[in-house]
Amino acid sequence: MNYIFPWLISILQGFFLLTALIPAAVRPRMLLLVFWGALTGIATTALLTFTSFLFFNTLVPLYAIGLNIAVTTGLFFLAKRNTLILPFTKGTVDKAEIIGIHVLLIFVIPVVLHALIFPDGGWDAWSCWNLKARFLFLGGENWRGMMDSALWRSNISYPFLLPLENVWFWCFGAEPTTTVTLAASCRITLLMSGLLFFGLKELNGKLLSLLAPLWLLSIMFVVKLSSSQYSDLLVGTWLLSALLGFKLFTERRAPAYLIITIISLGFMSFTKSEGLVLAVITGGIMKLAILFSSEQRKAALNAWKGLLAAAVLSFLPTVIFQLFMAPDSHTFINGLTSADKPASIERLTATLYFLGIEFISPKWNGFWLILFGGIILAGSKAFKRGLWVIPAIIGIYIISVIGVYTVNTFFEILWWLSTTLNRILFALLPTLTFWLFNALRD
Amino acid sequence: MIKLPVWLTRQNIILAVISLSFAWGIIGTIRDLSALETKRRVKPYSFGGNIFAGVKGATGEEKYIGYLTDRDINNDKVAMRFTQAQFTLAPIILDFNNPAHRLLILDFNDLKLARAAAEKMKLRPLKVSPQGIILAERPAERPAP
Repeated sequence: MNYIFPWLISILQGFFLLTALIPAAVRPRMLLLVFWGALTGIATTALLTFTSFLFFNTLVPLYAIGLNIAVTTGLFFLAKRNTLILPFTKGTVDKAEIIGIHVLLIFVIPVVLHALIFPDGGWDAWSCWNLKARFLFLGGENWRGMMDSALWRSNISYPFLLPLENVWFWCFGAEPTTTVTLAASCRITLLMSGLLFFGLKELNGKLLSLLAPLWLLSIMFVVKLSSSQYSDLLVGTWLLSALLGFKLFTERRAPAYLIITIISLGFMSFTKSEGLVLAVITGGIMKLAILFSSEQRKAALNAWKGLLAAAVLSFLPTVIFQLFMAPDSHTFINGLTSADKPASIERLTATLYFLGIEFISPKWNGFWLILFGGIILAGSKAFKRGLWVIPAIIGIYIISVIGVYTVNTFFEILWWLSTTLNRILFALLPTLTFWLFNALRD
Repeated sequence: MIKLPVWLTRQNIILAVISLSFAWGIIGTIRDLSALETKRRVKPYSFGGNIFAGVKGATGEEKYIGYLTDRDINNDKVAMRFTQAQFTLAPIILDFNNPAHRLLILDFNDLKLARAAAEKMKLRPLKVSPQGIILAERPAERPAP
């Protein structure tokens, strides 16, 4: 029951932030704003909680709660100045959206049932994310112990947005309960699904957009990964958020959407190392896209102060972490220079082979084959209206991933591929589905 | 040339295939959830690390504890057991196979082997969990005369 409060504060904080940012004339429909706001608000409340560790070197729950309430109140007044309309105002939500939200809730039930059996998530969740969360919550001034070299098996060089989100919820209780870790998987799945549905519906106005998240949630393997490897889904959801923001920016020329895109990239870079790599690639490709379009360039230049402020603030946690906290990775051997464990053509072949096997594996219910077939059928439509950035980002990212598997020879390649490659692909599903359904637009 | 019906657009073809995949997925989900329900009846909650919770009360304010085992950490099951122990005992840091700490956890294949190892290292057992995990203390070294 206690956890209703952090939920409420997070949703309101995100909702007010987006409302304050986006001018009323170009604002998206209400439920997209609510879902996008919830995703953003949970991250911002978590990052404000992080300041407790920076200022007091320990978690001070009352400080975190007080600060978040104060910031939410401040944002409320900013949003009010920018024509705030509340979700329950008449006419802000249509029937199709009401149907959609109910169907989504039903389709998240399998994730809930899986999470009930494994409330601490899968291996990655309890060996890394929820372990870090426990250190942050229980460790007192020893919270940095989560980066101790003795814990090298627990990805100590990874940043910790997801653990901070759990810690924010735990601030409202005395114990690090499994209720919060269990709810994390359901929460992220629901937010991803909602963002995908309402984002697509914002662009094409059709209820058919609902098929996109439902298609993903009908894949049992996706359900299992959503309840066990939810940090990857968080990366995937932030990537989707960044691309949705960019798509809306290219269509509406409103810099506010570019600000949201930058915020999404900044937060994604604090989720895990893959998120940082994706943020750098996505930021670079988007910058190119803006440079090549005179209209977009003009819109971006007009708001350069806001864009710069968004970039500085949203990437600040990552910069602080990478410069002052992150320990060296104990799981990296440069195969290009190592004489003991050199990189080899066999590693590259094995990676490409595993990638091919994943694409045709029945566990994905034919997702990859349908995606490739759909893109071929959609033809040039899949690359027009700024959509080309998606395959460019995913393509460069996949090449980078193949490069890491080949060059980092710390792990035995077959074991490493069999335990991690499917998760890397899993994180890309929301964005790829968004791409396919956009390519199908009239 | 064969004239295709108006509704047979590329978009509709892709959507039809996605719908089929979706329907197939629903069948799989129903099958999986019924198997899950059977599993839940036998074991409603699953987390292996709970077997280490028993020693938690006796660890005090210790920052590091050595984790000694005769198992091979390269085996996934052993690595999983160790990381689950770490999760359960956090914020204490478990130092794998490092006997230099004051407190040590002995998690051996056999309790007899664990007791023998404790005896050999002259450790004082503080707690033995029902699952055969020993929390032991290294006696303080006497100052040199």
